[in-house]
Amino acid sequence: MTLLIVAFYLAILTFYLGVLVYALPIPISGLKRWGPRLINDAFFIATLASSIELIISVADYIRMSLGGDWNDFFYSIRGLLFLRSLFILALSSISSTISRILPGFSRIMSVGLNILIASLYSLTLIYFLGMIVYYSIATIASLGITLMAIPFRVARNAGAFLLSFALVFYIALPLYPHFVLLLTTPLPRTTLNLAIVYGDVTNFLGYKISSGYIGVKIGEEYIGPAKLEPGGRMFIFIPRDYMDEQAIVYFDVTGHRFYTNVSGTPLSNLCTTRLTAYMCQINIEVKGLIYYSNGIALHVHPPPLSVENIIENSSSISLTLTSDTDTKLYVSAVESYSINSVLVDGIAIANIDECKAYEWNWYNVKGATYIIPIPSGHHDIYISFKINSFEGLEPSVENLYPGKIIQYNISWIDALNYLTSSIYLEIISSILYISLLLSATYGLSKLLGGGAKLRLIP
Amino acid sequence: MDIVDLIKDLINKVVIVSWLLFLLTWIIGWAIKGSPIPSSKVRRVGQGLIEDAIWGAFWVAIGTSIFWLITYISSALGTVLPNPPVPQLP
Repeated sequence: MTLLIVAFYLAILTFYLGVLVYALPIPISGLKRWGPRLINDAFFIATLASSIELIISVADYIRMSLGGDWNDFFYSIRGLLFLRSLFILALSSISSTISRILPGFSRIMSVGLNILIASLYSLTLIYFLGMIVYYSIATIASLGITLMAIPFRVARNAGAFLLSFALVFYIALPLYPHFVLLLTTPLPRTTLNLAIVYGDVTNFLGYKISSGYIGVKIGEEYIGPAKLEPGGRMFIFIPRDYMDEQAIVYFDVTGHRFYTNVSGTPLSNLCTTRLTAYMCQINIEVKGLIYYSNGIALHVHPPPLSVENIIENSSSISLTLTSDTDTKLYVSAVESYSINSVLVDGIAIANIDECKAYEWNWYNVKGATYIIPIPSGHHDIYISFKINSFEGLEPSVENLYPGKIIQYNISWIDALNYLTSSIYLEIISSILYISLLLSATYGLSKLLGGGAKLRLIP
Repeated sequence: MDIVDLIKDLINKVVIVSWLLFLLTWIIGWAIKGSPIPSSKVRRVGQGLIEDAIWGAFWVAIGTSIFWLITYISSALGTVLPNPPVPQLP
């Protein structure tokens, strides 16, 4: 605001300087022509300075009608930046591991890596330009007008350039993602577009589940099982096209796929936070499961009122269950577990093997489920078992999800196309776009009086 | 705010100087126009000086109203800028 006040007063000063030039008794025509010039300048700048807010809102309107959105812009550039950096990390770790065997490999990889790093630079440049223009458009525009207001057209070109820079970039920079789309549609893009879905996993009673496996069924395809990170954090890579299709999320342990709160809705509708276009946070609530750890799962149906005091160690699990109806406790354990006894309120169940209901195959691990009927009320349950061997408690690595993605057929040609299109796309498109915008800036600044034949004021 | 005060000060000085100069230029102009120099180019110089002096006086009188008009329109559109200073004779 101060800048605009300064600009306004400078315009008034220019006006009176023009009047002074009119009043000079020196009859040199070159000097006298400055009189009307200065007066016209003064009116023009005064009008600009007082209507700059209107001009900025017109620019806003034009931007919105062209379809540019600053939030979308920042969001997609951030996502691109994140993916590029992940890509660079992955490539450089691959190159360093392979170059221990083949020493020259790192040279070839460094060509690709250098170009990737250059594309990261140009993306960061666009992000930075976007931040400057979005957060300080008023300041830049006011500074431009103030420079234009200096008498005798000293800084008029500079001011006109600043003002048109601010306006053109404010309108057109958010259209950059659309521009990139325009450039990429003829190029092939493969299924390597992945989104990351992450979140916490809790059971239906609200307790956090600290280990297990998550699987997502989308259409006919089952993506999973993906092991939970230590601490119970889910982290799955899902191809981006699948995020918009109806998905059912299962908690896949001990031969059972437990239903969760995600059944039949597209995942993109459920993201609680979406930091970038590629990251989605969804919190999963598993139905029916009380506890899972290392190949033994406790689940119950119909659901009880509460389960408390779950204490477990390497040979026993104890819990307190309160239910208002007769319910059944299912103990699903892999075959390395032998259940010694189950005590309900201190009284042992007579024959455990009679409670064994069925056996199952959980990928490559066999196991069985025991059903223990629990009457309604408040009960203390104590299950003691013996783990015969600590191997084979959970499915082996080749059945797990991130391992499976490498088995998909990604041809080398596809990978090369994707690599070249994604690397060079960012460099070329950002340079092209910035030069387009700069030449528009130059044209607008000529219109505002930067010194050309066609001018707004003579 | 120092810059604004500086500019205001300059404006006042310029106005004082230009009022004085008007009178001077107008007198010089008529003097040249009415002088017995035979060359018509010189008389045209005088004519030019008189015209410019009158134009200048005209703009000074009108300028304040035009600036007021600009501030009025902009305040009607929403921005509020300070009123331009009305220059006073000493």
